[in-house]
Parts: sequence; C-alpha cells; structure tokens
Amino acid sequence: MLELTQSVFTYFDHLFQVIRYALTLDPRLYEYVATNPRSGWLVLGVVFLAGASVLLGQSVVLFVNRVRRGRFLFSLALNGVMYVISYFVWGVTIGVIGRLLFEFNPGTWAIVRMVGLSTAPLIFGFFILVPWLGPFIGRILNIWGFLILVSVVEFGFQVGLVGALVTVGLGWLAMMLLNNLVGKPIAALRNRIWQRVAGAAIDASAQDLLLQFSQSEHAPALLRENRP
Amino acid sequence: MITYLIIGAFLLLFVTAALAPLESLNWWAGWSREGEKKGPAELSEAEATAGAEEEPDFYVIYLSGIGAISGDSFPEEEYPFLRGLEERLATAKIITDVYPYSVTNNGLTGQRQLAWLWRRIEKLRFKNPNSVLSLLVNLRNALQMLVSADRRYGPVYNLGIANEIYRVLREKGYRPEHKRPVILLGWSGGGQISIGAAAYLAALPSPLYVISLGGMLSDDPGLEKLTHLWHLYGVADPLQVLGGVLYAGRWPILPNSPWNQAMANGRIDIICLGAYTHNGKGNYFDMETKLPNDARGRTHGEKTLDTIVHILTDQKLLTPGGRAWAAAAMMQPQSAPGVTVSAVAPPGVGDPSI
Repeated sequence: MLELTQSVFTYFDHLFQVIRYALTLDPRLYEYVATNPRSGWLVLGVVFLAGASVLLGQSVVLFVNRVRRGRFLFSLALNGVMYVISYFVWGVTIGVIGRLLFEFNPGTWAIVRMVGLSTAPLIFGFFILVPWLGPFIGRILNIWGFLILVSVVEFGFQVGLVGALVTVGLGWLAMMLLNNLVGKPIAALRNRIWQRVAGAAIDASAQDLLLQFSQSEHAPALLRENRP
Repeated sequence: MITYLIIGAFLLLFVTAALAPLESLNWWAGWSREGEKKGPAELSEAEATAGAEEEPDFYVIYLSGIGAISGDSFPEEEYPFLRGLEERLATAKIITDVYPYSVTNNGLTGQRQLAWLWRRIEKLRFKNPNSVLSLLVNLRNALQMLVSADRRYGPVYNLGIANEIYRVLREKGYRPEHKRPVILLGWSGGGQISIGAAAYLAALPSPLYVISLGGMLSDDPGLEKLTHLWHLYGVADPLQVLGGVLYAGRWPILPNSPWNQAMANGRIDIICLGAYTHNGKGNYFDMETKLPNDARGRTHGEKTLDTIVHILTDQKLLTPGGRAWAAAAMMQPQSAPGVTVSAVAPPGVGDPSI
C-alpha cells in the first residue's frame, strides 16, 4: 500500500516536472521523452489533463444543457480520453510524414510521445472560463502548443525551422484529409456518445438551447407569459 | 519571494475570474440549492400577489453599480440621489430592490458561504466608505458584469436578472396587459446588465427604455431589442470609456454589431453631462459639489436628475410642469438630506441646456 502511494506521488511529481519543462520548450525534456519509452505514461497524463481542462474551460455547453454533476464529471473524463486518441493519431501522422521527408528518424513512437508534450499549455484550458478574456487565453494556449510542436519536430527529426513548419503543415493537411475520408463515422460515434452523456448536440450554442427551452413548458414566467 | 507572491496573487485573481460564471451556470443547471428553491421555472407566487390597485404611470428599476452589496445596500452616495429621483418622479414606481449581480437576487450578505465576509466589509464600509477591503465587492461584481457581457454566459446570466426584474415588477403591481413603460436605470455595471436583461424584458408588451449612468456598455444583443437607450456620461469618467475600448463590437470597424446597428438606427442617444467623474468628488450622484458655470447653480447629482426628468418628459412619460415634479417641490422642498430641489425652475422643462 505504502509503495503504491509512493509510486502515485512519484508519478505526479514527475508529471509536474514534465509539464514545467514542456512549457519552457526545454530540449532536455525532448531528449528524455525520445529515448525513454516509459515516459509514455507521463505524456499520457499530460494529454489527459489537458483534454479535461479544456473541456472544463468550454463547459458552458454542459451547464446550459443542465447536465447533472455525475454526467458532468463523466463528460470531462470522456473528453480527456478523446484528446488522448486524437493526439495519438496526430502524433502518428507527424511521425509518418517526418519519416518520408527526412533522413534522421527517431522512431514513430518517440515522435508520438513528443507530440503529446505540445498539449502541455492546454492544462491551463480551465482559464478559458474567465469572462471576456477567456477566448483570448484559449488562443494564446493554442499558439503556445503550436510553438512546442514545431520545436519538438525540429528536435525530433534534427531539422531547421522551415522543415518543422512544412512537416506540421503537411500533418495538418493529412489530418484534414483523414477527417474527410474516415473521420465522419468516427465523429458520428463521438457525437452519439456525447449526446448520450450530455443530452445535447456537441455544437449547440447557449442561444440555441435557450430558444429551445423558452418554448418548453418549464420556461421562466417571463418567457412563458410573454411569448410573441 | 516577492515574485512568488505576485504570481500567487495573479493566479488567485485568474482562478476567481474563472469561477465567476459558475454562480449563474449552477443556477441554470439546477445544481445550487437556491436554484432548487426558486428555479427559473418557479415564479408564480409573486404573480399571484399582484395587487389590484391603480398602476403608476411607469416603472423605473434602478440597477446599482459594482459597489452594491445587496438590493438594499448601496454605497452611501446613492441614497440622496434615489430620494431625489422619487421626489421628481412621483407618478412612477421606483424599484431599487433588484440586486443585479446575482441571478437569484441573492445579495452578498444573503444565504452564501462567504456572507460573513461581505457583512464584515459592509460594516467596515459604513464606517469608512473608502476602505480598501470594499474593493473586493467591486472586484466580485465587476466579474459578474463581465459575465453578463460575455456572449457565452450572457444568455443565461441576463435571463436570470430579467426574470428577477419581472418577478419584482409583478410584486409591485405591474400588469403586462396595461403596457405601462418600463425604464431600467443602470449605474456603472448596472448599465451593462440593463442592456443584457433588455434582451428578455423586450418580450413584455410595454415599451422598454434604458438609461445608463456612466455605464460600461458592451455591444450586447439586448441593444437590438430595447426601445431606446440614453447613455449619460462625464468627460472625466475613464471607466465608462472602457466599454468602447474592451468590446470590439463598439469599434466603428464592425458596422453590423448590435451597438453600431442601434446607433445607426437612432436607438441610442449619448448625452454628455460635463466634467463628471466615475467616483469621488463630482460624480453622477454628488449632491454637494456645485457645477462650474451652471446658470441655476445646481450640483452634479441635481443635473443628473434633471437630465433624467428631461428625457422622460421628452418621451411624454412626464407632463411638463405637471403634478409629478410640482407636487414634490411644493410639498417637500428640502425633504432629503443633501438634496436641494429648486422651486424656481422645474427641471428639464423648456431648458435647452438640460
């Protein structure tokens, strides 16, 4: 029991260190992650936390849907898992493109792990909730993640900035292609799970839901009594 | 050490800001206990008590600024102003008990976990109005104002406030079928919340007017629904300017934003009162400091009141020289401390300078 507790503490200690080094674009961390397959668990933790935090930041849709607390937490966990899967695919795509373009090849799994590090800034995705400033914070975090990704690719394939930008650009195009070819059934499955958990479409806005609500019998007196 | 303290303070501020929308979201989702007691769908007890007596000519709902602690605890300076308003608008019903910084109209000293803290601050502020701790009230309420203006949360937050306004209106005898005009008088943050709530209150059959006193206004979609907005401002008030800076929809480069559309359609009038400040000496409520170069020797607060009367007279809600003002002036020329009601010239009547 004591050993297990100790391992959990050690894991989180390492996790916070990984996050800290990733945020500062530290090449020593890339080296560690590229050469140490066991770091995969730490990267998994980073990606999962980032996914859950971003959903917390964008959780207005869950609240507006009047999702119950249990379902709310389940949705956060589900989004964490979805993030892990999508970043895995993203990592594999970058790995394959890099292998085709460049001579130096650190191995696809190493690249997948390193790409996962680019999600580290999204651990602050919770701050997207901040009124007025939140969407701007979201953009800053995405730019920060993009910079980490570019520096990871630079380090991983031992290429310059232009090479890294081309790889990320091609990766993005490949992801778009994948989304259009095989992404639709996957997205439909994701939306179905989401709808079952949250009780509403994934892209419904607060206005849509309020409009829907205002026409129901549970609408507030103001809306119920004064319909046009 | 100091670096850590600064980082810690910033982190605390950001976490507090991130948690700010949760009160209204919790209410909406039905998570909070208050939501269970008085959820958005359960309002009918107020409607049942609506009296059968004669209705006033119109209703004025005063939404206070970010210094308000509850629906009946405003900063001291606002009380003489509100008494002056009641004297001048004798044919109207002035409603002050809506707390615009809580979707459930639950003041900071009401049923809250931190109520003890707010009560302590309220006492401190009573002794010393400039107490530094009272800035916590301002911070907390400023965040709620930003929630109202945020397109993500505004639809929920403003519905809660509009619902409370409607509930209180009904309690005070408002009957929609009589179509008596409703005027939201919003001071500072209350100005933004007024235009936010207007999006829903426009569903009422009454004309809906908003008067903003130095309000920090966003480009809220509610602007598309209200009948008319008058924004009263002072040139020495930097806070009301912020609205035009922080919200891109108020910049001229976005002509299709609700603000610019309302401006183009003539639904917004912007009235400069002079060198008014937002807080301190020479603010909108100041009943002591005389205006420079005012022919009638009025104070800042008196001119604000006169301007409101002028607007309402212009809208034919008040009769020029009618019973509303004349009765108050004859019966109680000096009834409110700090309020001097000039009996020489009825305010706002036939005076081009308002």
